[in-house]
Amino acid sequence: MTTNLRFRPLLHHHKAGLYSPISCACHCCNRIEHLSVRVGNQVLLQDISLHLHCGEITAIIGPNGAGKSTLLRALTGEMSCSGHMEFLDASGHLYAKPSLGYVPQSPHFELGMPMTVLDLFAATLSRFPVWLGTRMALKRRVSELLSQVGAEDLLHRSLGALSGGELQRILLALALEPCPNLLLLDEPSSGMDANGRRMFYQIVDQVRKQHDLAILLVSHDFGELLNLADRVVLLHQKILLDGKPADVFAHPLFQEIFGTLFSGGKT
Amino acid sequence: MQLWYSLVAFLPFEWAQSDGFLFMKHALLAVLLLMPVLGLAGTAVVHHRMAFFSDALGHGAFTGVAIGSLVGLAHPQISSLLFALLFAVLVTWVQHSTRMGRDTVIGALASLCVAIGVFLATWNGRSIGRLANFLVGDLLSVAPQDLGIALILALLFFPIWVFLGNRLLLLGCSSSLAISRGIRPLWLEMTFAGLLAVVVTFSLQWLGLLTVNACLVLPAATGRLLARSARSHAYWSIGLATFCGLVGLLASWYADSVAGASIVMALAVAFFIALFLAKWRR
Repeated sequence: MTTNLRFRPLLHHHKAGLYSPISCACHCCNRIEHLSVRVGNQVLLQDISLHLHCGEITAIIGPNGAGKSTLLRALTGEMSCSGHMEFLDASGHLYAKPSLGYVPQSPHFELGMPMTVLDLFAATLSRFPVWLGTRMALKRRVSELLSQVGAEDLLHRSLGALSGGELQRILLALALEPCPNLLLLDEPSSGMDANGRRMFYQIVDQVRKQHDLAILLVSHDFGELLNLADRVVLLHQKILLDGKPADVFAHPLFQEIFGTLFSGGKT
Repeated sequence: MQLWYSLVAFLPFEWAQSDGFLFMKHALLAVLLLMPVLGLAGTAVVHHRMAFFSDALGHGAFTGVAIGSLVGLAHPQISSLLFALLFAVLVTWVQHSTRMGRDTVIGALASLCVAIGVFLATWNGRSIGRLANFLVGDLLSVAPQDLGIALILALLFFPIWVFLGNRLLLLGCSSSLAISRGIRPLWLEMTFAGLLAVVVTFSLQWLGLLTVNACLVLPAATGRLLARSARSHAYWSIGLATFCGLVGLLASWYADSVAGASIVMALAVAFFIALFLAKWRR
């Protein structure tokens, strides 16, 4: 249990204020309690407890195979898990029907697939069958959603013809309807260049402020996280570190796992 | 049926006159009822890469017919429907519980089905020839009471599709996204596979094993080449299936050949024209 000793200072910091359960009383709060995922005999995630507050971006980092995507999939229900999750509003009441927004890790759409961006939104958001047409009200709503991510001109574009960055923005817009209690982003910036990445995170920051969203973000863009994230969680089957970006990046354990490629706050 | 006969009489064909051939009038109605259903279901078959599955469904139905005729059922369709449903549920379930590739599961189960079917059909030295009808089907021997069932099938299919269509579209795009929206893939896929089993088994007696799959896959594949949106894909697919069905039926009348074969040929011609157009447009 040497690792436990190592991150004791951070635990202390944790207890000292910012993320203590007490702050749940004045913000809306999504609680993940004792979440574990097992596949056969293999433990993918062990005893994950996180409290995620509105208006906060929590970034999950970790080496390959650490269980980052697994955590998000467990939350959406794609993977079965033990433990539980509850969604509380600012006065501590449980939401009856919490909603999750999920942006999966760059899904692959075939080129030439006869589906437009509008079709994807209509199929997801409406019960009215796409093959019978799309109602005007829905079309307007989709345009509104797309304009939030600067993609209103993509409404009638074919899904297969979108670039990686465009696709991520579309999926982000889709995840905003209905307004989610928790927004999950799984490595959204993979396949984007530095410029596209900066732009995408700007949009994420914007919608966070606009809707006061709680966001859980899996990412490796340490440089961007430093300014964007309110909190960084280092995950490797269990939570190793949990704290402010600069503190986590400066921690010896972080250096040990990721090498010295990224040195603390000095970018 | 009288209403249909008097409607058909307006068509400028010799067989369509009031003293013409009933079997062609029946076949025409059968095409008009079945082909739109096959065309629309085909869009999802192509979207979900289930062409192999729908082909294999026929094998399940084949075993059902063999068992049905061995036991001496008056309507082997019933046992073939049950067997196709069983096959659909089994394939979906095995695929989900083992996470094997769908084509592997189908390959394994379909060959088993055919083996059982052939084994039972040739039991005690019987000839397999009777089942040949099953391979090519016979659109010209449609009975009026079967047309009633086809009408019910078509009337049931479209409302079910209103319910399933969007979910299947989303699931075909990304299963992770679909699950996060509360869709349960196992149940949705099983429902779709079951629905497909009903449609395929029913079409088998008229169109035959070889034709049914072509009627499911070709119109949707052609539509995919021509359409840009999900909606136009559905309309292209329905339109092409119906149009080529009619062209094929008429061609078989004048060429005096099996209707199923000429329908498939019409569909294939449409497909290659679309392929050419799509290449040329790019």
